[in-house]
Amino acid sequence: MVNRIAIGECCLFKTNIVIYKIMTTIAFDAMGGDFAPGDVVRGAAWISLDTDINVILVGDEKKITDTLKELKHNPENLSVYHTNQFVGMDEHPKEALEKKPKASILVAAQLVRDGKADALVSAGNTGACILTCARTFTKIPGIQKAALASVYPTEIRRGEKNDPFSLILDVGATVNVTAKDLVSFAIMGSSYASRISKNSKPRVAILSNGTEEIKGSAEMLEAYKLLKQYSKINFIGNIEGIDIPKGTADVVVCSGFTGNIVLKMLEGVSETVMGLARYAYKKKFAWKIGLFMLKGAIYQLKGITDWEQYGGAPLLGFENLFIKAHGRSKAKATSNAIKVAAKAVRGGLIQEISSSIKDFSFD
Amino acid sequence: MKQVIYRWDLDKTYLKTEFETLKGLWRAFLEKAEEKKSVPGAPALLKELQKNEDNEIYFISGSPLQMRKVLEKKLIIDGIRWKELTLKPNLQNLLLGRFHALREQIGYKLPILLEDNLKRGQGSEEVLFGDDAESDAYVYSLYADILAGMVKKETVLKIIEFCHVPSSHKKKISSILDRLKHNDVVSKIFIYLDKKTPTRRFELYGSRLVPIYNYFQAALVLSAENLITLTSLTRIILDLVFEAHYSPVVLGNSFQDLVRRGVVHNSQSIRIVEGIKQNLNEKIIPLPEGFYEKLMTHLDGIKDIKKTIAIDSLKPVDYVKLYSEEHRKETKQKKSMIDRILQ
Repeated sequence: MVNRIAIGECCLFKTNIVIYKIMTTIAFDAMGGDFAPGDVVRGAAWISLDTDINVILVGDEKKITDTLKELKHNPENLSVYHTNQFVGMDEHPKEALEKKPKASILVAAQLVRDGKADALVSAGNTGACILTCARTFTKIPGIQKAALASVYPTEIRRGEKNDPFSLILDVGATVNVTAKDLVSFAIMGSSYASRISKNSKPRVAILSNGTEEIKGSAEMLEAYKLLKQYSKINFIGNIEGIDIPKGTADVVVCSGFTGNIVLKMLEGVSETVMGLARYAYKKKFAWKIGLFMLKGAIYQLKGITDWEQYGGAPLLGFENLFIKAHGRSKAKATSNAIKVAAKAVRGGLIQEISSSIKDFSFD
Repeated sequence: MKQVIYRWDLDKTYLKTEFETLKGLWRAFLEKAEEKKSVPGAPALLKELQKNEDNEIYFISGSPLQMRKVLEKKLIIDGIRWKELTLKPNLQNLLLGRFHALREQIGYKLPILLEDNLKRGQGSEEVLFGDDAESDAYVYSLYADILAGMVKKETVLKIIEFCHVPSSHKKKISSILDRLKHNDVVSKIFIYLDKKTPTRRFELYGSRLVPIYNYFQAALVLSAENLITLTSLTRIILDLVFEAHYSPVVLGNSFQDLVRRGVVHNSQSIRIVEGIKQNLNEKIIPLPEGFYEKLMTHLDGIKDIKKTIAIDSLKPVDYVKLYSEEHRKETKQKKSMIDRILQ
């Protein structure tokens, strides 16, 4: 007789005679990203040392093994799945995937689809990643289009864990959206915030050009109506761009076109502020002293706005989970992306989205 | 099966010991035999090794002589039979003001290994087990190369000189070196990676030295070399599953790591996987539902690892040059240990 016992974040199988851990397995595209494979493999090596996550590194076996030989790691939690093809960061996604049927991102996604891994993580070419997921994974019934979600630090903190991030989706997977797409983004975002940020009642809003109900495009107006009627989501109406950093909403819903522009602008603002601080530091001695006195606060601000801590952006809408790490990811960002993927798997994110979508009647 | 001499270090190789902190050091000293914990799989592997009556097991440890009773009791509890257990005369070193000797491992272990080999006088194969906490890789490789006649007497004496060994000892070592019969008898040196030191750092010692992350890996190599049977290997797997809760994933990944590092070759791995399959399939011991199938999925994947990376052939090691590096490393480790203790 086999009993399944949940202990912490992992599960143990127990019979009269033996107990062993069931590990969450992440298929990791080791060849994707500006610093792959070296720095991204380093992230996986860190993970192997201090977590129970099993990582399958998909990519060039020789390169990966050579990198691992230089690093402290625990091979008990790591394996390599060999493929010698990969999609470069500058390649055209569609053409590259057609030319390279054994590209690391495709092979990794197939491992997830075939049940050999629980989630997929990549820091590679975003277009190729999204296209791979669209070609390999099945959409959750009721969802027409996938959404790439990203987190952004806000003034207000939220949830059980005092999370400083709000979720913005879509940030680039779907350029043109319908009202139903926006509604499904809202449901998926709400599920993510409740499962990952442990926010029991996340505030969901549509990003528009005004807070009034009548503001926005036709599809936004229709989505507003549909979400207003749906009691299972804490829909707070429309918000404006200014509300994003304030943290007025925990989940910000928009089209991929808008979301991508917003995200890049927010990133640009952060970088500019830090650039100005660096300029001020060099320019005047008095400013230098002032900044020195503020260094604690600046470090804290930098810590909050540091994208490497976010752990990557989930692509939501498929029956399998994909976390997109930043293309510039190094070890820290990579390991955080793997951790987020494992957390989403253990938290039953996909099941939560599936049941929430099932609950919502689009008719 | 032929006779093999197995030489084991104790702390961090066989026993889980934490001597990086004062608390850990104190605990190791005060712990009763029943409280001491072995590294998973180490007792099971030793028990399989001693099944060949001709094999001999020697322990050489840096633990003080005063711990003999408790260490012997621990080994008895684990069901281990040994030929000799050598401990360090730390109190004597302290009283004689040989403070350097208190922490010196090379000058302590090398003469003991050489003297014992001379005493035995036979050319039996030797397999050595150590860890990455101190200089085991260096001492064992040097010992193996001295036996193989690859290191000149002057070089050994130079190293002994570096180690601040008393002059009476130096004379003794010199005499041992004169009488030693050269025989390339050390076939394998296993370094258990307690600190997960990157394996690249051990490559200069050649393919004879195998860094291992667990004792399943050691058992796999010994099985590949026909030093233990496939039945013994299966028993060690079961011990790891039952006692240390090893999962099919952990076993599969550990196996794959060895094949990728070129330690176990594809042809050997295919034979081993078939053997494990056959032995486990007999289902004498009930495994949890799905365990066997999952393990087989992981083990079957091993044969897909085609690009075995061969380790460079054995090049002569410059032990004198390496000594200063090892010594620097040791000093740094001790210093950081003292820092931690004082914190």
